[in-house]
Amino acid sequence: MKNKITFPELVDLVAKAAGTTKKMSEVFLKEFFGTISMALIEGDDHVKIKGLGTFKITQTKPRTTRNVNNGELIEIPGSKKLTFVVDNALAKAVNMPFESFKEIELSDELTNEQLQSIDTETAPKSAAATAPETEPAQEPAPAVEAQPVVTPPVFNPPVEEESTPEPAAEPEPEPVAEPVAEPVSEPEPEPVAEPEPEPEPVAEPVIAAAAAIPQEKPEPEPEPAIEAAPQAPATCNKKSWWQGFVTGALAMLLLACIAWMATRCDGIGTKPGTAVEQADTLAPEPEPAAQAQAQAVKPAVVTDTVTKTMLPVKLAEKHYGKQIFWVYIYLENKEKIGDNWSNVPPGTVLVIPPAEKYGIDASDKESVKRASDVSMQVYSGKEPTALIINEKYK
Amino acid sequence: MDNRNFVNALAKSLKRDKEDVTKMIDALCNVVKTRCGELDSIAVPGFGSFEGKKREERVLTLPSGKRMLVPPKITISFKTSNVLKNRLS
Repeated sequence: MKNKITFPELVDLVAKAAGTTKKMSEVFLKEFFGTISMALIEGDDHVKIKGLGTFKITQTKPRTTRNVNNGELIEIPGSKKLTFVVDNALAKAVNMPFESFKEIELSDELTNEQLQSIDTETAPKSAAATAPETEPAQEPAPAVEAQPVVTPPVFNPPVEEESTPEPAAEPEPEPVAEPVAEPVSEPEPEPVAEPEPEPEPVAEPVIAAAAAIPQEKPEPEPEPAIEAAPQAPATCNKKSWWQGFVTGALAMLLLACIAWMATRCDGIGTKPGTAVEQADTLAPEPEPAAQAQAQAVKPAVVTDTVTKTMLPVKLAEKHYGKQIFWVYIYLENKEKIGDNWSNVPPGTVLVIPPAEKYGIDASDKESVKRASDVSMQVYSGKEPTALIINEKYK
Repeated sequence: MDNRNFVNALAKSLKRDKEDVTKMIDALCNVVKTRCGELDSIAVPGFGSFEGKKREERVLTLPSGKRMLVPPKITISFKTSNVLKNRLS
């Protein structure tokens, strides 16, 4: 494909095709083109060769234009121009791989997106030179599938590749990102290459025709695919490389985020001595529920502040997931709150007991019931008592 | 110059039968067909070059608003050599 065939090579090819010697072929070709040239030069306005085409001479008329440099009027003399019109039979024969395809009317349901994918497909599809060479047998089959939208499957491998490195080794984000980028770019040419360079027709008769043609002549097809490949190698490689790079960058970002969050969690849990101070400084800020739960699991004291909008019930919801568990916060801070549990002043700093102390579990019905019982005691004015579940807090 | 005249002229200058000449012309056409079908280009010095070009499929929007999908196509294009251009003018 895109090979330049020199005259000697042409001589060889014609000699082979005609079954003559190279010398005869050379003489013939020289005479052939010489005769055409002479006829045209000597005034013939056309030379028709059956099976090849027609060489025509058009005479252009002289015209007056301006000289670009000094603006003067200039007359460009008329000249003879040589054009070539291919013979119909030859044109049809050359177009053999696409012969049976016809123009089809597109329904309005096809979105511009799908149409764009058709445009972008034809370039990268035909550009995958390696895959068609190794899988000529598979090509006729995918051609029949005729999916107009192929780009979504192309993007799936990158998405899948991205999620797998996340749980993998955090300390090495770079080596992980690179293998991600590479396998990503590799699967891309393959699923892209499998569909034919032929169009992805929407209408059925064209699909049937496509099935007929690939089955009849599988050979010419992989070759035009290979031939057509170098036409757009730059765009294909650039596109898949860029996609791989973007995926790698995203993966690295995610890993960095996880590492950052991990360091934050680690900083709080590992040193109980300083944890209280850290917890106090962190407490005034509303902490994400996930972190609060992580803190609740570790033996660190958690505190929170009551505000106009953040009442004990809200604090319970925030830390434990259900408002009913406010009673445990109340119990923990009974000295501070006293009987005033319904009207805790804003600014009061309350200690939030860890969930395991009272066995607080928002998803456990038993736990919820226990809290509910305690709240009944509080509402009725009785002295509330709660069962301390976890031994180490007694 | 029609095909007939051309073949006659060629046969005369080659001192061969018309049949032979026709056979050789067919052979040349076949070579052009296969090579250009592979999107190669054939260069004939002093004359010009024949090249097979592939046109990708496109979406046409007709004035009526209809959209058509045009299938891809391989065509042969000819480019005159400068030598011949000068000789003609």
